[in-house]
This record gives sequence, C-alpha cells and structure tokens, in this order.
Amino acid sequence: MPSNVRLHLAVDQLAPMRIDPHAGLYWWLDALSSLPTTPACVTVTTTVQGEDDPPETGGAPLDALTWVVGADCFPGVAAPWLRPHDRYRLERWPDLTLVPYSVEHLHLTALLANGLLTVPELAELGGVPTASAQRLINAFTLMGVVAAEGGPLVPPAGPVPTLRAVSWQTDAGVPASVTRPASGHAGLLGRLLQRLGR
Amino acid sequence: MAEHIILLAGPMGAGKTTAVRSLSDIDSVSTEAANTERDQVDKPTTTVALDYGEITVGAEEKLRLYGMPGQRRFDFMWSILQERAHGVLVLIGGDSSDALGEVVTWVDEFATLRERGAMVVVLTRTDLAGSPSVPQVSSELSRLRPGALIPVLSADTRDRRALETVLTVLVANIEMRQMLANHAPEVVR
Repeated sequence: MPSNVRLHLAVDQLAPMRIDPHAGLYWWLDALSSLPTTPACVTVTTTVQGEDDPPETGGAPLDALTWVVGADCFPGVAAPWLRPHDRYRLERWPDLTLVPYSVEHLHLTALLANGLLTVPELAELGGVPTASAQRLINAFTLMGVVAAEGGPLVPPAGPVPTLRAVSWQTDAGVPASVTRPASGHAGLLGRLLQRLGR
Repeated sequence: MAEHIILLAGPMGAGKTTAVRSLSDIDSVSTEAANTERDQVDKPTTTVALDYGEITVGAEEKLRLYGMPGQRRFDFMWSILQERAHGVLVLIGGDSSDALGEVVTWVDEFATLRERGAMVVVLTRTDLAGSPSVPQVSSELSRLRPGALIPVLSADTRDRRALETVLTVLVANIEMRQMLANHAPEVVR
C-alpha cells in the first residue's frame, strides 16, 4: 500500500476513524473501549493524502487498535488468512505499554520471541487453551508483528468480518485441567509479577 | 539475599535518572553534577557516577537498579557492570536528532547482554515531534542487528506502571528464552 493512502473506518453511528497504516497511527475522537464488538455496519474507504495537504499531527499508535480488533474478531478459531500447521515467530514486540495485556499475553509473546511455534505448541508451552493461543496469533497477524513459516499471510478480499462479543482475558477461559509449565509462574518473573500485583 | 542487577543505559538526557527514581522502592541515590556539555544536551545537571535504586521482590530478593552515566568517558563502567548484570534497559530519547543511530550504538555497547536476550530498548519522549515510532525503531534494529529479537517499547519515564511493564518484558524474555533452550530446544529460533 502506498505511504500516502489513508483508511477511513465508519463503525455504526460512531465518529469516523482515520488510519495511516504507513505511519502506524490512527485518529479517533472516542476511546477504544467504546468500539462495539458487534457492530451493525462497518465501512472502509480510502483516500490519498496530497503533497500539499497539511501534515497530520497527533494520532495514537495503531498497535492499540489492531490489538483489540484482532483479538475479538475470531474468538477461539483461526482467522481466515491463517494456514493450518504454520509456525509463527515474533518479528516485533508489540508495545505492551500501550495495550491492556495480561500475564498470559506476556508469557506467550516471550515464547514467540524466542521460538518458532505452531498454535498448539504455543498453547502447550504457555499452559493455556489452544483457543487463547489462537486468539493471540489472530491479533498478532493483524498487527503484523509475527511472521509465518509458510510465507507472507494475505488477508482475503471481501467484507470486513463481523466483530464478535468476547472477553480478551485469557485467564477466564483456562480450564482447571490445564497445567502451566513451571517456568510460567516460577522464577524471578513469577515473583516480580506477584510483587507488582500483576 | 538474592540480588539481580538491572542496568539503565543510554545517552545523556534520555531519562535514566527519572526512570530509576520512578521504579525504585527507596529514595533513589543520584550523583548529579553541573553539566559541562550543555552544547550537546541542554540540562543543568547530569549523572557523573551512578544513579541507584532498588525494588524489593521478597524478603530475600532485590532488584538493584543502576542508572549509568551516558557520557562516553565513563564507558569503562559499562563493560564492568554488564558482566554482573541480569539485564539492561537501553533508554533513547525519541526527540534526539539521531534516535535510530543512538539505538544501534547503545545496543552494540551491551552486546553481551543483547546476545543473552537480556535487553529492552525503551523509546522515551515519543510524544514529541520528529520522534520515530516504536515499529520504525524495531524494524530498523532488526534489519541492522539480526539475531536475537530485541523488544522495543515506549515509556514515559515518570510513569512507574509503564516502566514496570518494561521490566517484566525484560525478565520474561530472559526466562522464556532459557526455558525453551532447556525444555524445547527444537523450536528455538
């Protein structure tokens, strides 16, 4: 996509959202928490920023938006642009100071930063249900922070998927039978997280 | 008493003294003196030895936070301290005229820790005009220094909560790297 293209997102009757994918910024008057998980209508249009247009200032990091949308779009199942059996590795750490992450997200992200993993492997090593690991991979592929071993991922052409109402808290879905690896909550990390009340 | 040394490194004016002060459980100790290099960084004082703070993790465990002077004439301290350090936070001001260049320079100074996955780059003052974005810095760093993926995060050094996130990312990256190497070496990248 050329660097001067801007996306405009209209969600239901909310104020329009403007996105600069190249700069990784978005502009929206509302807080992300007001973004509906089950919108009735989502319209995406594009415009081209002219050379003479005034420079855009402000803007919020796109990571925060794509984190929320990517996690909520396909709860527990693979996003349609993903291929079965692909392995994933982190190409860039998401800026966790900007997003509402949980301890599970921290563990899973650190695993992807250091390993090349399928979704089931990620779930097993992270001690979380496969659906939770899948949700993180969905979000990370939308954010563009992971690479798939099978080559570039291409989202399918077509309508924007309907957002679904789900909670982005993996802790809530962890069944009692799942055993987390000892390293998950032991060691300095576990003690530090406890000390910091995380 | 188990002690883990966390270094805070980076050029003068990046926010190391403030970061130590924000994170520390105790009143941090600073060694400020008049800044004789105001042509480079316009602030009245600068750190000439170490800033020191600590986080008590438990009754028998502490994180010791060492904010290191940013001037190159103190580089003998960098090599001494990184031998003993658990990890390093490299702070770079986004308003620097060459933030990307400074990131690479400072990452290379702590290559021993970088190779262990014990490094996080913290981009400060990203709200100021001209600052590169976190994705831009991360992509450029991966291109110039392929290998171990270095986390790049943004933080306001006055914001303890954000700095705690930075600290936990550092420790998580170290521990998950070790865990995979020990228990699942076949998937280590």
